[in-house]
Amino acid sequence: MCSGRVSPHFVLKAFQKGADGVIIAACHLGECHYQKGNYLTAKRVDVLRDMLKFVGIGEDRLRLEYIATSESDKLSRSFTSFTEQIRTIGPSPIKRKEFARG
Amino acid sequence: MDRLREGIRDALTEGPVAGVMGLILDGGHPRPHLFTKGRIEDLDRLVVGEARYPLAAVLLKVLRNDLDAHLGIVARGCDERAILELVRNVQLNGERVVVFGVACSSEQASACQCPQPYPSSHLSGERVAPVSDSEGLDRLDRLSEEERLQYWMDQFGKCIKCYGCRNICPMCFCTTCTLDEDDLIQTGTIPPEKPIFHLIRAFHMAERCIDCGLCEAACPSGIPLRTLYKKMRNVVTTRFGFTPGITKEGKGPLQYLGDGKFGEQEGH
Repeated sequence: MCSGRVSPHFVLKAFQKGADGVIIAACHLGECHYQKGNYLTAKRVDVLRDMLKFVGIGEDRLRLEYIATSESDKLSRSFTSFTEQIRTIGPSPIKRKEFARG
Repeated sequence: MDRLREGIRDALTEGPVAGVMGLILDGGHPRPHLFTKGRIEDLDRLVVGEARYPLAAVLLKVLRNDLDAHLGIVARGCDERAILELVRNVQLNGERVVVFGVACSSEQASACQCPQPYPSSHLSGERVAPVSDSEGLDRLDRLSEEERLQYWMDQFGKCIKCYGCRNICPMCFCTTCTLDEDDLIQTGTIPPEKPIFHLIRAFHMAERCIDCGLCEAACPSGIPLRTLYKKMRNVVTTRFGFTPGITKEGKGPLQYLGDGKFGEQEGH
């Protein structure tokens, strides 16, 4: 799916469902098949990260990486480093019992 | 006030304007009303003052039924910002909306913590200085992330999901709403899922919020929504140099590629 299709809603839904982190893999800037999908994503991610920081979920739980379809090693490296990063930060605070509904 | 009434009367009787949206005193209470040529005497009961309504949103509702109507609006600074933003978002035809400006008093400006308590021109009142109200935001920005999380989850936990913030917002012009979307947020249940319910709305406000504060005034639970949306507004201003409610032209940065953020690479 084009990274331009990754609506901020999807990211927020993932966090609501209990995701500890969300990584978006996009094509390199300038290489968008649809010309500007990844530029738009880059901007949305910046704004989303600022929002996550402001409400205390943490900006580091959301990452955007530019990975071409041929760059399997970069894909693997990015996911590994992101997983490690999330392990260091710990589980998403949204899941805490004190924040449960009701 | 006399100049305002005269201006509207002239526009209705001699000009092309078919109606003017403003507040009328009805049984001692101000409410939105469309002043028309046929009932020009209603103008005697025109009021401007403490009462606040999302007049731009009411005007939009009228115009949705008659896209070509030539209407006017009695607008404070916030109402004018709403009009500009609605025109920019292609909801209103800017050439068919005439603004009759009203400058707010210093008491009103400080009650609303208004960033611009006057429209670009006015027929009533005097321009007073904007009131800076970054205090609440600064205080939150100084807290630790954990403290902010506690703060916002507590605040969101007060929500009774009345949709008042959305319903009163002059910028919530969509005819279908994400917050009614069952795939995204459980509808028909309370309390709302937090924080997604509020964060989705906050994200949507990023390049739209005109900082009128009606959401916070309408919230029965006293959630500091304006502070949240003000933050999003600031984010977009800081990152992209765009502030909603200032211009009626151009696309917002999140809908548009060519704002120079990516330098040379852009425009590929």
